[in-house]
Amino acid sequence: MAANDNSGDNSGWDRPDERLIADAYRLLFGSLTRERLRENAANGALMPQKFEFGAYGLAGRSLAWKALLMPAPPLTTELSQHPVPPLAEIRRRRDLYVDVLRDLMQAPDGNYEEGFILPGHSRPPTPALKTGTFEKNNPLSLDEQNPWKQWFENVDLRKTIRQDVQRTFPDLSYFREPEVQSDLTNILFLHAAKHPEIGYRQGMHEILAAIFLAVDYDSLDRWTSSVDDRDILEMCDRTWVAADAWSLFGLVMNSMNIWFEWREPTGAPKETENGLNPYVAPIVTTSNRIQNQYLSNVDPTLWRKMSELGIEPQLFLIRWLRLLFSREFGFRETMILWDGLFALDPSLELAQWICVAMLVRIRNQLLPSDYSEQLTYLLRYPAAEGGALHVSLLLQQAVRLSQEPNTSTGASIVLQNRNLLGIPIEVPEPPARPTPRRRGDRPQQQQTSIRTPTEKRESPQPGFPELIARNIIDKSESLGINRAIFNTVSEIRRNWTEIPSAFSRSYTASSTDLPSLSYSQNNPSPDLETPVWEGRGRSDIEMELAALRNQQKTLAHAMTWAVNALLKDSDRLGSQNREALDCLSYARDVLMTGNVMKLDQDRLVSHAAPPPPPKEAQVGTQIPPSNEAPTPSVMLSKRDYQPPVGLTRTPHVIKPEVSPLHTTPYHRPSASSFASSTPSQERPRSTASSAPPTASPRYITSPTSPTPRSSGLQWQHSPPSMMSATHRKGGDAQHAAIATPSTPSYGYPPKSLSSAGRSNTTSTDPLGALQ
Amino acid sequence: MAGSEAPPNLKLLLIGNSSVGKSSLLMRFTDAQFLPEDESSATIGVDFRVCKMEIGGRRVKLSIWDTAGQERFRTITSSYYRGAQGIIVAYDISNRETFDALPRWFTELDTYVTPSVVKMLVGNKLDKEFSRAVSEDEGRKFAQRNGCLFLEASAKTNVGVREAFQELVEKILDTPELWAPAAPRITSTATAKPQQSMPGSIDLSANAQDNASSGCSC
Repeated sequence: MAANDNSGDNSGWDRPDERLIADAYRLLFGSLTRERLRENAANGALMPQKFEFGAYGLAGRSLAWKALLMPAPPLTTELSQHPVPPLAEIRRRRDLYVDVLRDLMQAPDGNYEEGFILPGHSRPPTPALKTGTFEKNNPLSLDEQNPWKQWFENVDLRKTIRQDVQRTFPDLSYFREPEVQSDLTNILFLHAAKHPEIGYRQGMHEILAAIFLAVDYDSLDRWTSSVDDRDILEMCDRTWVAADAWSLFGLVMNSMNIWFEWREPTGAPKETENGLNPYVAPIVTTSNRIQNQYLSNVDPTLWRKMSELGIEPQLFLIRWLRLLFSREFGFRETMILWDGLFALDPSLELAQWICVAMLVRIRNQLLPSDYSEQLTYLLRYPAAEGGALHVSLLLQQAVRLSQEPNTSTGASIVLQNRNLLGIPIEVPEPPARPTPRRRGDRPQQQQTSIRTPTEKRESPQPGFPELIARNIIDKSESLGINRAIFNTVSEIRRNWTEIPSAFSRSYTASSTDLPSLSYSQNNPSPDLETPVWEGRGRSDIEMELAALRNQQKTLAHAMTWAVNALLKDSDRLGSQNREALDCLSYARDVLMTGNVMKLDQDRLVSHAAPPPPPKEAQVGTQIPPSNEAPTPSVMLSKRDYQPPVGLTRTPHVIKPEVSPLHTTPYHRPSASSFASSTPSQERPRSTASSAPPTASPRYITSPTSPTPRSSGLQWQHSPPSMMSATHRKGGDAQHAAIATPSTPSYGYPPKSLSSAGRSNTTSTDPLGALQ
Repeated sequence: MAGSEAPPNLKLLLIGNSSVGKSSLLMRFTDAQFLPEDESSATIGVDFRVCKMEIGGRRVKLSIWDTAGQERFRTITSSYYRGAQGIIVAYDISNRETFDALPRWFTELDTYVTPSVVKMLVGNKLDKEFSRAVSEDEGRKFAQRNGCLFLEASAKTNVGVREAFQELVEKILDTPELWAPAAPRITSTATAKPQQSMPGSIDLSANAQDNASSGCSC
């Protein structure tokens, strides 16, 4: 029904290859677990790269949406690890679509518009006079019950809808096709007619359009297709593009209707002067909550500034929410954002937190601005650089914010934006004037111009933990264990500034498609050297301090593990290594107690002459070349590692593809460890800090999946929650990676694969509702 | 720049039915650009632009609010109108309905703004003369009855757009009680007291924009 398969002409869009669609189906409903599907979507990589086509297409996207949004077939939800194709549900909804369409497109005299054909039918529906006597049922009757009255109203409604449909996504030629426009109009009309309390509102058309395009992309011509799997053909049948788009649109709108709701204020408008309407539209309430509650909890500085200037949140949030950010990002990025949103939270509550994360992200632009500049930024959201990373990071920040809405999380997000996106922490002093942009252009320039400072900063000096590490290496003998120590510590150091790799695509075999991921590996930890908090507001400093304290405690915990691990071999150690270990232990204690004001230098340096650093050890210190995924590799001694069945060669490259989702809660040291802390304004880098963090990052945990998804990785010594192990696509053993004893980076602790002795409890899980 | 007399900040508002070309008028005025009808998407909520203008040797700064036309969509009407000194009510001369809807827009205006606020009626899409559905005379008479300025314009062919904004602003400047209270600000710091800077007022004095081709900066 929708558009013809006219890939040959210059219509400017193509469907993916049929085999790709079939592959996508098999992947989604065969090999992927539900959990993995959600995880991929949340990471900005719903499908592996090979499924991408064109500038913004992704084969299988609509199939994934069907799996994520449609109710699963009965009795399978709990039992099945894999998404089950919701064929029965789809059939039911297709039938419903035909019924509703047949009913609503029929004029009261029983006729249909010329050329109107129901999907799945070859001939126009038979006209049949509807009920009612001629007195009532004729176009000129003044009877209140006259069905023509409703009909004419509907004609007007369709006209209004068509007006918007005709200018939907002006950049995409697909939407200029008459068949597409006709289907979109029908669907919006049906939706409005079935939801009279809301009706049709501008904005719905763009939500539907994006869904429709995704469904049409994944459609197959049942008669000519070379695909012979009947389920695939049924699911992807082109006949039902409109029906399926209507279903998905309805499911999405279930969550969004509230943002479109509005009714005439009761009483005469005069009574509601000064805007004190008795009725407040839900979108206004929501907008206020986002800015005045959520944002004020997370980034009080920004909130205060916006409030002082008198920015009314609904001015920009109406558009952000009602269009689900489609005007704020490019089409491709918007779709990636939707993937994750549908996967993480079909109720779309998370969208509110995405707004908060978006505000925090452009705080450097907003803070120095005046009223009109702020509003300009908010209504022309600065362009996303970094594509998928940019938006999927927003998603993950939104999840964290929704769980821990406090300044500590806010600070960590500012840090994360610095590390992963190069957005400086410092708010630029001179007000950057937004240049007037042409309508329809994607804003581009400002952000780059504002963003430069940190990148220039060099970091010639090693940070504190690395100093310790060098020391250890310098005096060590080349026992195999050296590398482990070194890598552990350099890992810690890296984690100090949050491992960007902790956030990575967990699916595709190569990471080259997302070069931005390795970005901050080339830019190691500028924050260790430069006190960035000079000349800034107190609350900024506090936010950062809180984050650093949190990190420090995390590091202490990591060191504890490292020391313990090394101590197991202590009987074999030479004296220098003992010394090294001692040094490491001291560093651990400093980090752990957090209130040591003066370091005992003696305990940090060796008393023996340092031998030249063993080559072996240096290998691990190299910063990986820019295009490679970071490889903080740690070899565990063989007896620690038991190869999984079928894994013949020892895997050695570790790509910490730690997903922010599905993690076990990080084992925090007990509160008493910090009990002796005293507040301190010392630089948190060298000595330490104070009171327990205002909040500890709590991590999302997979709602389901008690089953280890690995290919059988097992740990003999199950180290306390520091192990991270990852696996590649489909748990493929060949790619199984060894865990690195990595510190849980801020917010993204390594996920643990060991099923032994690790509790998977105590997690707040907003996603639980999904299944 | 930081002379003794800072240019007044004026807030203008564009209203009118959906698809009459409000956004196009604004884009023509601020960016000297025009997108064909099916190439500009519907405004959701509100759009916002700032620019400056010189009238009779006098600089003014404009913040222009472009609202969504769909009537039932107007969830936050009062936010739009607050602090506005000038209103442009637009209709489409080739679409009778958009003209017939004008009384509703003026009712809303009466509700939200004081009578001294300057109003201008603009009949857009003058380029569609061949399918004109509202005569110029009708438009003018309606404007007279409602005490507002009137002009026909075409955002597409760039006829009358600049004039419309210019006339509106001139009239506002002739009505000091509209802007004088907000005027005596000298500095352009972003930290101006919130009470002084009315939401919607703008301040561009710190950094002049060079936009020679644009209709709004001279």
